[in-house]
Amino acid sequence: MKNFNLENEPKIEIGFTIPENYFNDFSDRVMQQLPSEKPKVISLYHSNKNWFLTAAAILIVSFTIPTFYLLQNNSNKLNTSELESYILEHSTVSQDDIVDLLDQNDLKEINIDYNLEDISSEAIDLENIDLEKNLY
Amino acid sequence: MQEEKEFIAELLNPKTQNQAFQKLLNHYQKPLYNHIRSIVLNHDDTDDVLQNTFIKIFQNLKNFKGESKLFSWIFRIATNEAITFINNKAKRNGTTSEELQTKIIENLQSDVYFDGNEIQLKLQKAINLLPEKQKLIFKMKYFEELKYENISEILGTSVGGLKASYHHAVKKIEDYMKLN
Repeated sequence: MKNFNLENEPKIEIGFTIPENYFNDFSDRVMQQLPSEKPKVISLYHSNKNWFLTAAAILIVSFTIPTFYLLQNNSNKLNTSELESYILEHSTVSQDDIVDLLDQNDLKEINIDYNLEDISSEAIDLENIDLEKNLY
Repeated sequence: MQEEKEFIAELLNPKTQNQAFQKLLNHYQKPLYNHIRSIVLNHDDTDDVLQNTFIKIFQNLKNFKGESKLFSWIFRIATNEAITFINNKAKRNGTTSEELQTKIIENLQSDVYFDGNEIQLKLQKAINLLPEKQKLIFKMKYFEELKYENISEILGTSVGGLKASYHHAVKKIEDYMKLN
């Protein structure tokens, strides 16, 4: 058995060889394969986020204001026709009561056209025998 | 290589990145080739692994925290790539990593990119009988002549542990060489 001491022996090289000029283009080959910085995909929403938010806010406000006013008007303003019919239905005040409330000035302001045409007056007289009672 | 922090800053700056990476390629391509070749054993596989290693380095530059030296970080990536490659190749061929390496070594004489003599071939066979970790440590110390401190940073093993492993490896190799 021969004595063999690795440290005392001349260095044993690995014995592998490399193809000639292998390193000449190696770095170029690698550089070509390097992943290029991918362009970032920016969504339309994210790139114009402020515009989208502004537009959304305007839309919300433009829909809200009319609705708000409508609600407010409905709650504050009374529907006059409904009020009228309510008074007619529920009022305990008679026409005579209202007449009593009128003073001289109010009466003056009520302009009633008494110039009835004669014919028509006569006709009315004939048709309404009891009219005299009403006239006097 | 220039001041490491400065160089890393150049590698991370999009404006200087390509030029800096070209510099890194030129500096590391040969030592990394030798390192990978000693693990995967044939040239074509080494070429594939070396390219993947540099691409991986480029892709992970932003994750390099500077906790270890750039040199150690690069060699660690290369080592992982080479070991993963050989494991995957063995799996594809329905064999183990050890069997695959034995097969490659048995066929080394027919490899056009191996011009070793009898003693060189015998040394490869002796190394191949070592446990995986000892195999790696022996190659890095004996063929690549890396310092224990550097191997320690790359493999994450203490210098003391490395020295013990290398010593065991040398003894086993010497025994094999004596007997054969």
